[in-house]
Amino acid sequence: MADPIRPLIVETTKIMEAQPPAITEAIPLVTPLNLFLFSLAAYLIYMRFKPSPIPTIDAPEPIVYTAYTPRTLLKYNGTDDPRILLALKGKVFDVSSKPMFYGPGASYSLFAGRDASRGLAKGVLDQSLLTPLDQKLDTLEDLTADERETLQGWFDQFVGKYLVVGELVNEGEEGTVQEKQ
Amino acid sequence: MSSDISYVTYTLLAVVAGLIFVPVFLDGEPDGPPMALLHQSSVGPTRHKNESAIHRSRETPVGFPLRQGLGIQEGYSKRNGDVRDIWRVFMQKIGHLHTILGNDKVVHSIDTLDAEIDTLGHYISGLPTNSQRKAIAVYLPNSAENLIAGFEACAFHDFTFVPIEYPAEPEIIADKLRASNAEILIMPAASLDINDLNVSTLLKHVILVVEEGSRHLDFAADPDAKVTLKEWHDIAANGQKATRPEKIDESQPHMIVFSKDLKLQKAVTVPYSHVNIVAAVSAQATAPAPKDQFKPTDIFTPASTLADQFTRILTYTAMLSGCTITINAVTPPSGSLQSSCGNALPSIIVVPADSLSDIGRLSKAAQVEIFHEWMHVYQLRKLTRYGQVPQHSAFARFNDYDRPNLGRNLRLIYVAENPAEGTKPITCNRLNDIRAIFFSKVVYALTYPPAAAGAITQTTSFDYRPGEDTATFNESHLGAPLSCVEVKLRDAGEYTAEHEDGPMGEIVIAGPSVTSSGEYATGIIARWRSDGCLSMGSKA
Repeated sequence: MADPIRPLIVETTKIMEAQPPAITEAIPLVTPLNLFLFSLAAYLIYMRFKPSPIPTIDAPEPIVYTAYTPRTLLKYNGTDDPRILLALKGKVFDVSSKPMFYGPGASYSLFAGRDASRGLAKGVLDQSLLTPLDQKLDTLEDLTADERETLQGWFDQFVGKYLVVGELVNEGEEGTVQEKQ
Repeated sequence: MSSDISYVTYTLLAVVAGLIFVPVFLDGEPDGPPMALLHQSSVGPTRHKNESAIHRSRETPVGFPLRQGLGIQEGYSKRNGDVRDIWRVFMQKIGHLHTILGNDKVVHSIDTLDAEIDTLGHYISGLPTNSQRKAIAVYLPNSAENLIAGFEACAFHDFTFVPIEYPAEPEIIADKLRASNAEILIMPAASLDINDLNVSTLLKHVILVVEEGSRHLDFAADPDAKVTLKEWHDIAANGQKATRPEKIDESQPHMIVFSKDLKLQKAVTVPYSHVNIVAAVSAQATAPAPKDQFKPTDIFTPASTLADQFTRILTYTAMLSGCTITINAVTPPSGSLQSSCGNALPSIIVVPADSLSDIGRLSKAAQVEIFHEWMHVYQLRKLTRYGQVPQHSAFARFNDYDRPNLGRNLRLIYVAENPAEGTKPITCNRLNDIRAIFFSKVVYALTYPPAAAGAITQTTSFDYRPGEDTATFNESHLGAPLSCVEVKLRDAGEYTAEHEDGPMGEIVIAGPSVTSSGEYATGIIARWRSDGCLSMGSKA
């Protein structure tokens, strides 16, 4: 006689002894991809709350308006000092932006660091027209009307193109410019 | 490695994508180009030995003429114009003038006011006075009459206009009448005992402004009066109309302002010419960034006395732009800001510096709970980090109980520093607090009434950069010069142009809005910052 319980026990034992179904391996929390994404998110949040410095730009230093004498002006001829200055009708112009005209070896280079008034008025590039350094400033009184007009033309062009950075005065008169202003 | 991707990975991906894309859609644009704040003024390329370089507005760089006048188009040419043109343009652009009386709003007819200019002009022209040129003192609270008196008195019929701050003690009014030699006074009925004033001043004629409810009383019939009395509404209703003179004498002072000279350390009367005022008004009209400028849709309320020249110049600017001008007699500091312009729902206001500073201070102190502070910090972050004025929102209403309610139209607050009155500088961070409190841009200006009409420098409307405060020093700055003045700093004592912290010295100004023809040395020490803003510093 068959034991009615027996098959059940067998079945149960089979089920119990059977291999558990292969559980897919749990994905670990810390994977390279997760780490990367997490650090990216942290970086983005940091960037959002990072105190941003207020940007500033340094303004260029303004040039001091100075009284030059023929001797102090001589230095600014492009060789001794990178700045090139020249004087016209008593005003000193900064022509450093055009070294192709006034730089060393260029066509107008003899005017660099000198009083160019007489030379430009006459339209002649000649050393003899430059006032010697030990003499008083050129008053330009003997110029003809034509030459005066030419000189004024040059002066207006210079005022439009270059910066007036000072005045040319006789030696010993440097203080008077300050007082006039 | 596909097996590595789990719900954690998907969540992180979503977070990263959100952090990248949400700001793109939600952050929005700053109110103005941030790089424009780095060079706010045009700096001269040269300077004299004991001075800083000249600083100018970027609208009128060094080498170009300063703004002279209104630039009224006439045929094919432009002319500078004078104060009369402001009223003409106001009428042309169909601007409106409203007065707030308590909870009621009175809408004035501009044509009626225009007619009042002529009837009053006729009456005043007929008054016998000792001096050749009539000076009219106007001792009125902010009102349509006050504004009209300015145009009538000064502009159209060529009298000198002397605004006197309301309210004031009788002795102070007598002092001002004496200093300006005014023989005619316009004042509210029954606000002063005129016979007191008459003793020590040249006062001969008084025009009484009577409010509508009291007009059944006859204020002009005072048997004891030693001056001639007349009521404004009587003149307006029954007076004859004068024809306006074609030409006015522009060399004569148009307006006399009372102030204190810091160099002389005494009270002075400062005459402003038509040119001064017109230059200041036109420069003020173009000073803010284009989208912040006065527009015909704006409602302008002077929440500061119209006797203050800066307030008056701004009111003229608003009129020039055809705004709706809403005037209330109540103004800070004697009344609260909310009672002054709450009913007007203004979009642009002018507030005295000390009153605004106090509102900022008190509202900050009223933030008791932590969430108030969080809200405020969030709004400040919006300002300083994203360059945007915070918006009204449901969350922002957490802090509503501690701020004056001026309506939702408010977009621009003008406030002026006046060293002659010794106002305490408002720091950058305090200004940001005020912006957050009012949901509005703030323009902070430097005025010095003895030196120039209107403002000398003022901050850009979208400059919300925070100040770097230390224990001893709170950062504040006053922005770049207006287009009608050029500003430089002259060496004074230890403050020199070669100072390691930037050029320092005494403020020296020149230009069409300046009261003297050449340079005016103010005696106020300031410093140029590297961004071209003028800084006066503030001790903590």
